[in-house]
Parts: sequence; structure tokens; C-alpha cells
Amino acid sequence: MASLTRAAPEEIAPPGRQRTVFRGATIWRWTVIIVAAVYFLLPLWAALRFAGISAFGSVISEPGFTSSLALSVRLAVINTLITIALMLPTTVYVHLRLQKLRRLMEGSRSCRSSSPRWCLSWACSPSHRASSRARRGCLRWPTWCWPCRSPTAPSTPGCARPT
Amino acid sequence: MGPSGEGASRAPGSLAGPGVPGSGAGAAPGPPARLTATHLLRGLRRALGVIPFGLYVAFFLLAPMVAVAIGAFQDNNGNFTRSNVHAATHGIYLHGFWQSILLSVISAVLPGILGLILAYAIVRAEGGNLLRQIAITAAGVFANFGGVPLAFIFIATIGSSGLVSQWLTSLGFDPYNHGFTLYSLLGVVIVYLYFQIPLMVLVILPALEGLRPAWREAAENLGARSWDYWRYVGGPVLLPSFLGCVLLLFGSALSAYATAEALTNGTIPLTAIQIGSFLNGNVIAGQENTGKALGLGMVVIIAVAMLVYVAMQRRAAKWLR
Repeated sequence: MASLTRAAPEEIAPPGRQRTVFRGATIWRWTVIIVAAVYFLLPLWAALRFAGISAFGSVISEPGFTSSLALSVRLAVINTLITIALMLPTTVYVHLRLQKLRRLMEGSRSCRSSSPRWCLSWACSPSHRASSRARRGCLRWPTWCWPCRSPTAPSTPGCARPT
Repeated sequence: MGPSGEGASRAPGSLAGPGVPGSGAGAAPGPPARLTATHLLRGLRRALGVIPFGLYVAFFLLAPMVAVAIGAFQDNNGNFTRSNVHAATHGIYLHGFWQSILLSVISAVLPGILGLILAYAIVRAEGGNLLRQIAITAAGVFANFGGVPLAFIFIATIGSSGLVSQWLTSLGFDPYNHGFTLYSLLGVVIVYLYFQIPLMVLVILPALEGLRPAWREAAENLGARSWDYWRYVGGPVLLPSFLGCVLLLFGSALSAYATAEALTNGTIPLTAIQIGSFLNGNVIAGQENTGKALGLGMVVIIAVAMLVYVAMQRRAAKWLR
């Protein structure tokens, strides 16, 4: 998807009207970037304040935190390795030798956004449900009550929610 | 290309696909059966490289899809029935589909426009490569934000006791007294913007970089103002890519689940959440396979969106070469 041509960004700005236009455009662009930066960073800061800096110290000693974190990291690393091992050679190969399949590959990339639902639904059949319960049992949800949205004991025995 | 020519060594950007079947048959007279066999063998050898990916797609994409499609038409005993599909297209589940589609359309079009503006600002900003690199990296991180952490940071920001809510209240405007709530469809849209805009930036950047400065210079030389350039050159060139990206965002919003679930706790009947409740076993006896019918409905919606996306990309590819 990389662009083949790199645009020459410098435009020759002759004196007079065009320079004013150019400056106005620069201000406009930086306004957009700054507004976006605020939108993306403010919630992070709010969450940090909401949780409190001290929570980071105590969360490490929470029971189950280390094992949950280790499991998350392990899943992420395995996922990444499988993805790289599978996709890197395939993408290079398709790019070099099978140009016709590129569109199909791009299509399958787009499908990634919708595939989890299908797999979940598949696992929904009665024969799979018992095993999925067992699987969820090993991923304990920390104490956060979603119905009332407060950091208390969960009102229902929770589970890690799949994304 | 002769029959013995090595088509695979052609440059990646060549317009004709390498090894077009039968392309050499007319040029060199010879026994056609042998040529076909040679081509077939060559094609098979070439296809070997994509077998792992093909297996992956077959097992993790096609098999679940087929299983869902079959299960949607089966009752608990495995007999054919249409009651699942009937249930999935009526009542609360039909309402769920409409709500999902409405949410997805809003949270595809709005971030599509905002993401395009942001991407354009990034591409043309004077900061140069450094800013671009930072922006792309940040977009990559934020685009993958989701689930419960995302819900949490927005509860901390514009929840009823969130930071921004408190600021606004101290200014004399409590949004929660004016009908706003984070735990509604509008709230979910605001939260979805957080990962949809960066996703849009990532997918639209190549198209924006494909807009060559020479086109703008040519337009300006012919007396076009900025609006004319966008109306007659930039806009038409960008439109297929833009619509394609919006469709991608639509798919992303349609299947997002954990964020909406954590935020609304199921008060908005979205199809993804309904499927989730089937997965958790919250289901009336005898209706277990309705979840699969809902899944099939999602597949159909996504398939339609993807068909339009492919058509759009085909048009866009013409300009991005």
C-alpha cells in the first residue's frame, strides 16, 4: 500500500497573496493537529488521574495481577509471532510473484475486523460452551462492577471479555 | 512472453500479471497439451507459497463461517429449520441489527471525515518526516485501543464524575443535566471515534500521498483556486479511496463488541452484544442456534460492505499506481 511516489512537499511560495494563503493553511493544519492531540491525550490523562498514580504501585501486589499480566503478554507474544511467521513470507511472496492475489490479500485484511464475531458465534454451539466456560474460568476479571461502574466487588461473576 | 520465459522474474509493478495462462500458446506453435500441463505445473508451484496462508484462511475464516451458516439452519437436533433465521430477523434481534447498522454508519462516516482532515493536515504539515512518523506510530497505537480499557478512560473523562464533566459543571454546564449520557448511542459513538479516527488516518494516508503535487500545480497554472482543485481533481481522485476506507470503518464499528458491552452493559441492543449473550449461555432453551443466525446476518452485512469496498478499491487503484 506504500505510495510509489514521494511528493515533493516544498511548494515554491512567491511573494504576495500565495504566501498569506500558505501561512493561513499552516495555521489551519496545526490547529487540526493540536485539537486531535488534545482529543487523544486528554482521556489518557483523565484516566491516569482517575486511577491515581499510587494505584500503579499497589496494583502489582494485587493477587492474580502477575499471572494475568503474564498470560496477556504470553498471548500477545504468541499472536505476534504467529502473525509475523505467517504473514511476512506470504505478503512478500504474493507481492513478488502472485500480483493477482494482492487484492484478495487486502480483502482478507479487511475481513479481520469482522471475523471475531463469526468465530465467537461458532463457539456458541452447546458442545463448545462448556469448554469456553472453562477457558474463561482461568481469566479472572478484576474487581470492577460494570452495572454501577465503581471499583467494588463484581455484581456478577465476570470474565475477560473478548475484543 | 514465450513458453519457456520466466514470468515470475518480472518487475513487481508490471501491468500484466506474471505467467498469464495460455499467453504463450498462440505465439509458439507446439503441442498445446504439453504447454497447458507446463503452465499448470508452474501455477501449482507458484501457489505453494500461499498454502500456509490459505490453510489459515480456510480454518479460521471459512470453516467458522460455514459452521455458522449451517448451524443457522439447524435446530438442536440437527434437523433443518428456518425458525432461527426467522427469530433473528424479527423483534428485538431485528431492532439490534438496525441499531448496529445505525451506530456503524455514524461511527464510520464521522471518523471518516475527521480522519481525512487529520491525515491531510499530517501529510501537508511542515514538521516533515518526524511529525509524520510520530503521527503514524500514534495512530497505530490508538487504532488498536479498544475494549474495557477504552471504556474506562472515557468513563474517567466524560463519565458522570469524569474530569471533563467536572470541568464543564464548574463552568455552569453539566452535560448530564442536558440529556447527555456516555452510556447511550451518542456516548458509544464518541468513544468509537477514539479508535476509528486513527484507523482512518492509517488507511487513507497512502491515498493522500498519492495525490501528486504536479496535479495541483497544473490546476493552479490553469487558474484553478483551491476549491476548484478539490472539486474537479482532488475530490474525484480521492472519493473511491475515501468511500472504501469508510466501508472499512463500517466493518470495524459493526464488529466492535467489548467497548459497547462494557460501556452500556447491554442497554443498547447491538447485534454483537446479543451474540455475546448467546455465547455466555444467556439463552432461552431451544433457541441456542439463533446466535448463529445472528452471526450469519453479520456475515451478510459485512459481505455486502466488502463487495462495495472491493469495487471502490479497484477504481482507486487506477490512480494510485
